[in-house]
Amino acid sequence: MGEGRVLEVRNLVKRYGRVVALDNVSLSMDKGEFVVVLGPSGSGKSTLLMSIAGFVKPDSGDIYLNGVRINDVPPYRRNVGVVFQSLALFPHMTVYDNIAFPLKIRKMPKEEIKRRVERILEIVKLSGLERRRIDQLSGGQRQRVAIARTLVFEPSILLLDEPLGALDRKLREEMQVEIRKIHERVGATTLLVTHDQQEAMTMADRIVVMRDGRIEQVGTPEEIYSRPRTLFVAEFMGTSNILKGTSRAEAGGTLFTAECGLKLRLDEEVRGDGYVAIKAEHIRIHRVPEEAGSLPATQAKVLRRFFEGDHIRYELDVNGTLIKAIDREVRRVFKAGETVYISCLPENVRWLKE
Amino acid sequence: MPWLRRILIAGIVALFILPNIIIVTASFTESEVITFPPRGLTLKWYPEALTSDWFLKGLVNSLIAAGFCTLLSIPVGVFAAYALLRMRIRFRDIIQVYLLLPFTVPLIVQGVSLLFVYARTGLVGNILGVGFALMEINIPFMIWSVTSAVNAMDPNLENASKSLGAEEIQTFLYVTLPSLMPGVLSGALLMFILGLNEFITSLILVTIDTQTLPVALYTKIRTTISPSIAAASTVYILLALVTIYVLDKVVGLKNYLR
Repeated sequence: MGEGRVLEVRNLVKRYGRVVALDNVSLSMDKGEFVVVLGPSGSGKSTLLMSIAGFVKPDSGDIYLNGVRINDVPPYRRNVGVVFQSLALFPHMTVYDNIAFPLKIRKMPKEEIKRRVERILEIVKLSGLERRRIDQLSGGQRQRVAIARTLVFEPSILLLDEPLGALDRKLREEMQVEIRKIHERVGATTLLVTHDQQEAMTMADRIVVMRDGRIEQVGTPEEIYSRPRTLFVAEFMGTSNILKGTSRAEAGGTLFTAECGLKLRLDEEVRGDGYVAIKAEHIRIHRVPEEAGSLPATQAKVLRRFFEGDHIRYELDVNGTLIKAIDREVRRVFKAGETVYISCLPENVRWLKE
Repeated sequence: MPWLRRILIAGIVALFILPNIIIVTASFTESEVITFPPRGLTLKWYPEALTSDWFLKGLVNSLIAAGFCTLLSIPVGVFAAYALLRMRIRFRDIIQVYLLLPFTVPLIVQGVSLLFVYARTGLVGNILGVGFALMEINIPFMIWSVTSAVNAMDPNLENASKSLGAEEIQTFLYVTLPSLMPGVLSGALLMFILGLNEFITSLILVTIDTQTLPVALYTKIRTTISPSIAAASTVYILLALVTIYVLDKVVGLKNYLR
């Protein structure tokens, strides 16, 4: 285990009857890291978080926190901070008492509690609201109280369970930036769970994509977005073009032929039926096939064109299949109805595992 | 049709309040028997009722019994409601139905069975025995009240408390119980008022020394129809109203009796 290793989850398994919520999940986090677990509902992401918090008992596997195995440690001795989706603020306490709660439980001296609460209120920008009751706060303020309450006792790790799910879009985006800022100020090792891929991209140092209790792919937001490894990740991240087809060996390498007839060169040595993902900005449009050079060019028809400032977005038709393309060359314009040829550089075509 | 609605409302009000108004008005009569409409106007029945032995004794007994019943019902109701909702208990459904259906056993039967038990244990003639009986027959109202508070509570509240470092007992004391407090208070209020008013079971269990106010009134009306009974009844109504008013001021009923 590395020196800066805070969390180490090894081969975690959790079953609910016949449903496997966690299927051999392993994950590690270094000090100060911001990891986002991304997945649809039922992917096991919340079960993973609740196992780390101590509210779900895994069937097998180990959880280490700062090098200590915590499987059998009760939640109140784990020193793990959790922000629940419902926030779970204590309605019968003021803002101050909510935030002071973990310190009072730890029997800290009064002055020390006061000092710490005031400091954390400053960090989350709530100074002056100490005496407010929870029902006198706005959604964003409640969010901050919940975060402050978990940060104030300096937990080994901060866990956030879809904390922004209940907010409207504008406030959610503000809070995403705010949580990132707080993270930078405090440096807490943070694990956030969400089903919102945009949220994951904005906030994470590293994204863990989960599906059906398994980890599908781990990587930086850039890696996950640009180089999805599976069909699921590509679809979940909203990759523009996902095509089904067959790949086979050919003189120059691997040739993929989509069901619609689109031909693409791959730089991976793969064979058989499968899927490829291509981002819209990687589709190259040509007037004549020769412009594609040695790469295969496939005939397409321009359906629609949208001028969007620094780029033009095209919708193209290849034998009944819609292909989305983004062209940054705004001085060259293709008209709707025009016949064109499209190609793609091999390094931009991603072969997807199912 | 607004006039129809007005008539209906007036009818309902009359139906519910008129008998009370009659008894209140009758308490001001100058005649020696209860008369309505009152003959003359006097307050003389009030001092007579309020200083009479049967009234004072009944009132004190009722307050003790209802108070004891309320105190007893708080721990019983809280633990029963919490356990039924949050713990795995065998025969839970059956226990729940029994505890939540008030008066599953007819009050008269309840009184008779308790009388047998009290006779064996020497509790007959003990006002606290009456208080216990009141708790037993009215506890569903307490459990209802606490149950709705447990249901309204965010289940993550307790998990949050634990993750913040509070052990099970600390969590129960500092988080669970305060969150249930509104339900406990409105339940306690109900228990007190019901206890103050209970008649059937009390009638069977009380002796001449432990007569509660309703029983004392009943006994009195069997022998005389003095306007002092009307005066006592008026005081009784006021007492119930004052209880509600005070508790409303203290705990803010509007927030809790939902």
